[in-house]
Amino acid sequence: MFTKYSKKIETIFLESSSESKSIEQNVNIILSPSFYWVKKISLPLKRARDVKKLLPSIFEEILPSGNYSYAVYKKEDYFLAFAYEDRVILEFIAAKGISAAHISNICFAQTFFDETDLPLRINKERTLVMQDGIVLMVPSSWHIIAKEFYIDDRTFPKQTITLEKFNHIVDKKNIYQIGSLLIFITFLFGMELFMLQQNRDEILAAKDGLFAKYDLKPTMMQNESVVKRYNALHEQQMKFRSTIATIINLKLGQNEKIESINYEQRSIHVLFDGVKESSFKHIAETLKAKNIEYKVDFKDSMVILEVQL
Amino acid sequence: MNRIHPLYIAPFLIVFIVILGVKISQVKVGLHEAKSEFQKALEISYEISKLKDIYDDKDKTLKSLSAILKHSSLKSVSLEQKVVAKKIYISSKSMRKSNLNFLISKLLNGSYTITALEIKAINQEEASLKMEIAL
Repeated sequence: MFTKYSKKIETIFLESSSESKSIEQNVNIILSPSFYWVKKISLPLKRARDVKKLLPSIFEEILPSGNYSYAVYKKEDYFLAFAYEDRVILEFIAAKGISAAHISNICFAQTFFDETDLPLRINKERTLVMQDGIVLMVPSSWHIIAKEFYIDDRTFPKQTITLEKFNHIVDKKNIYQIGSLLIFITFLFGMELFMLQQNRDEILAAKDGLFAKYDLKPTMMQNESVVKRYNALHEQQMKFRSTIATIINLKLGQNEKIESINYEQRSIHVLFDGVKESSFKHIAETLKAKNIEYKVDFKDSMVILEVQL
Repeated sequence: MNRIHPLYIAPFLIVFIVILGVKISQVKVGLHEAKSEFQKALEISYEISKLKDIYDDKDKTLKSLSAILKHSSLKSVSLEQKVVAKKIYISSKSMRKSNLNFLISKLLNGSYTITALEIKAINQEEASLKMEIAL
């Protein structure tokens, strides 16, 4: 049975005999006592959250096996403790055609009704009564005199519960552990990403610094070309020096002499005087030993030696 | 009931972690490339600076050439020195072979870009010299 309560947000009293009804707007739900277990407990504790930690062991003996959530509210000199199965309530709500997205608030009948509201006849079979401060659902035949079901437009109590969809799959504590682990991993990954980017940026800045310091060309290809050019020049100069040194230090015969040495356009021309074709052999051997490739031209007593660098 | 359940956040975090992982691997590749580029730039800059120092330092070349040409061994030699554009020309119509040997050995052992050289024997003791050095 569904009963409209508030004009702003429809309020439903959810009871096991409630009929299915398609609801397309937000609703508040009052849970019938058939959906939860309640205990009045007195403990030497001040805070409800300290009591909540003890509830699994307090309810342990009376609850059938299942995955329960717990709620506790502090009263004057005692605590009201509740145990309920999220999955059972959610499945019931879904079976009655109410989408979880449309549920605004859920509270227990215990927290909604006070002694002045009861006994309250829910339907022909069931009546809500209060016994020793606990709201109970009893057969209507037990209380012939009871108020007809009517709920004034009072404010929905602040003592509401949130149904956990996955409570039966993963324990809430585990959810927070997993969540914390994932957040920690995300943090580590974020830090690593940040440090890697910093490192990369520093290296790129250092590279730019090198370009500025050594006055390098903008691209590596241009710089490689510069190095290639310098290396070619270096090689040529070294070859020139070693060739000239070899020529200057040639052991010549008594009447043999170097008339001139000419170097131009990467080509060395040496003019020998007094060197005959037959006596050029020892010069040729020296040049060969130094791996110098040459061309030679004999004219009378003159020898023209050409070395290309 | 309408608040987001923590379990719904987990897939988002996992997706976020996967995205971060992909991003990290991309940045790692970038970092590796940046490191190798830096190493390459370091080697090239060292090589270029070394080669520039040898072949492309005009002031250093002029200074050391001037020191050689002013050497006491060449005081008696009439040497002409001319700087045109990016080249320096050194010539002597006649110099003793010992002086020529001294000058040539100094120039060949120094880091100069010799672009042209002409040595002609005048007689048994003397020779002429024309030399071109790039600056």
